[in-house]
Amino acid sequence: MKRRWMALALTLPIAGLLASVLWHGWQIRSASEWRIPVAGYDPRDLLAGHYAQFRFGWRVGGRPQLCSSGDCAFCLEKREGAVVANVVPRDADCDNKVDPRKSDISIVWPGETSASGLVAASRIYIPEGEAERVTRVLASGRGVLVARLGKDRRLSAVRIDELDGAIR
Amino acid sequence: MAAGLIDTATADAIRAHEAAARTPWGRWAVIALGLLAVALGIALVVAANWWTIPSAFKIAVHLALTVAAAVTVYRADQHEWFWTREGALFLFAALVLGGIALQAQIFQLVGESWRMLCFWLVMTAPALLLIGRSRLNGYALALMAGWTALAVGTGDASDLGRGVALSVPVILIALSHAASSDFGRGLREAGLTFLLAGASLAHIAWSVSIDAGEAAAARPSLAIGAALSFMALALLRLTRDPVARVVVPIGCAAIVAVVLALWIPHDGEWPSRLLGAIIYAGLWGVIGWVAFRSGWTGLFGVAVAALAARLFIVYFEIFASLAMTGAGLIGAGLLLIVLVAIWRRVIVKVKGV
Repeated sequence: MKRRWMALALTLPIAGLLASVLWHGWQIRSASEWRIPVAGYDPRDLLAGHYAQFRFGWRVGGRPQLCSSGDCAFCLEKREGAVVANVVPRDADCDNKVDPRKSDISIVWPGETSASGLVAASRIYIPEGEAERVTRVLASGRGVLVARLGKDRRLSAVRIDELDGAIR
Repeated sequence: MAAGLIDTATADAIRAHEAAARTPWGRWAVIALGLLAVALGIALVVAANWWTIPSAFKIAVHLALTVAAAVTVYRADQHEWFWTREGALFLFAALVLGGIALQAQIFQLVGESWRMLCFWLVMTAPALLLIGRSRLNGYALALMAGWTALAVGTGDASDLGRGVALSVPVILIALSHAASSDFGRGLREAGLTFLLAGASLAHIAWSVSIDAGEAAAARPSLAIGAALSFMALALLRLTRDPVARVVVPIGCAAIVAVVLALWIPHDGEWPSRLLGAIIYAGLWGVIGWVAFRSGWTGLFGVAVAALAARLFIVYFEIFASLAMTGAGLIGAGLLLIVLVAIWRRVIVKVKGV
C-alpha cells in the first residue's frame, strides 16, 4: 500500500510538469501574434542583467486615467496600420485584452495633466549573443516587439525585431 | 619503539597495516578537482549554446532526468539505501523546480513568483512528506514552504492566501509530528525558527504608523492565519506529543504577538514603541520560561540572547542628546549584565554544574 502511494506521489510532479507543457503549448498555438513598436525604456541602462527593458510605442486610447490606481487593462486593436491600446477597467471584457499584471507590464502614470503620456514598460529575456543587436535596435527607436497574446490575457514577448516599414 | 613499548616486528607490522589502509587523499582531491572542472565546463558549454538548443529537446531531456530521479528514489527505497534515496529525492524536488523555471523561460511566462512556488509546493510536498527521512529533505521542504509563504504574503494574493501563508510556520511544526524521523525534526526546527523570527520581526510594526484603514485591511488575513495556526497547535496538543508541551505555549505567544502588532492601529511614537518592546519581552519571557521548565537549554539561551539584543536596541531608540545616550548605555549595559547573571544561574541550576 505504501509503495502505491509513493509511486503516486512521485508521478504527480511529472504529470504536473507534462500537463503544464501541454497547456502552455496549446496557449501559444491558439495565441495571436502582435507586432508592437517599442523603444528603450531607460537610455542609461537598456540591459539590466539578461533583460532588455523597453516601453511600448503604441497609441494610447480609452480611459488612461484608470491606470492611476493600477486597476486597468489594455484592449489592443490595429487601426490604420498602427497598434492602439485602449485603456479599460481591469474587469472589462473585450477582444485582444492584455492584463498588465500577468504580462509583466509596469505602468508609469505621469499624472492628471498629461493623461495621454501614459508609459507602459516591460522587459524581455535576451540571449548573450543577441544583446548587442537588441541594444542598438532599442536605442535607435526602430524596435518592434513580436509578442503572443494568449486566451489567458497574457502578452508574452517573443523577440525584438527592427522596424521594416510595416508599422509606423 | 624508542620508549620500549613495542618491538621492531610489531612496529613493522603496524607500518605495513597503516600503509595498506591509507587512503590516497591527495590523489583523490586532484581527481575531484578535475571532475569538478569537467562538470563546470560542460555546464558552461551548454549555457553558451542554450538558445540554439531546440525547446522541445530541452523539455524532453529535463523530463527524462526527472523520471530517472523518481525511479532512483523508488528503487533505493526498495533496497533501503538510505542516502541514495534521500539524495535522489532532493534532486527530484530540485528538478521539478528547475522544470517550472525552464517552462517559464521557454514560454516567456511572467508574473508573480508565488504562483510558480505554490505549483511546486502542491506537486512536490506529498513526495517529500511521504518519502523523506533526512534533515536534508526536511529543511528543503521547510525552506521552500517559507519562501512560498513570503512570496504570497508580499504578493498580489487574496486574504485567504495571505492567511494560509501566515500559518505556514505552525503548520510545519504540526506536520513534524507525523514524521518522527530526522525529516520531522528538520521541519520542526525550521518551523520554530520561522515562527520566532517572524514574531520578533513583527514587533517592528510598533515603530511605524498603522492607521485604522491599514489595520482593517490586514485583519481578515490575520484572523485566518491565527485561526489556522491555533487549529494546528490544538491538533498537536491532542496527539500528546511531548514536544507539544513546549511548542504549544510558545506558538500561542507568538501568534498573539503578531496579531497585536498588526491588528491595533498605532502611530509609531514612543508609547507604541514601548508597548511593542513590552510585548516582545513578554513573548521571549514566555519562551525562556517554557524552555527552562522543559530543560531546552539551547532555546533558553536563544531567549536570553533575544532579550539582550532588544535591550541593546533601546540604546539606539533613545539616541538623542549626549545625556540621553549616556543614560541609555548605562541602563542597557546594567540590564544586560543582570540578564547574563540570571542566565548563568539558571544554566548552573538546570545542568547541575
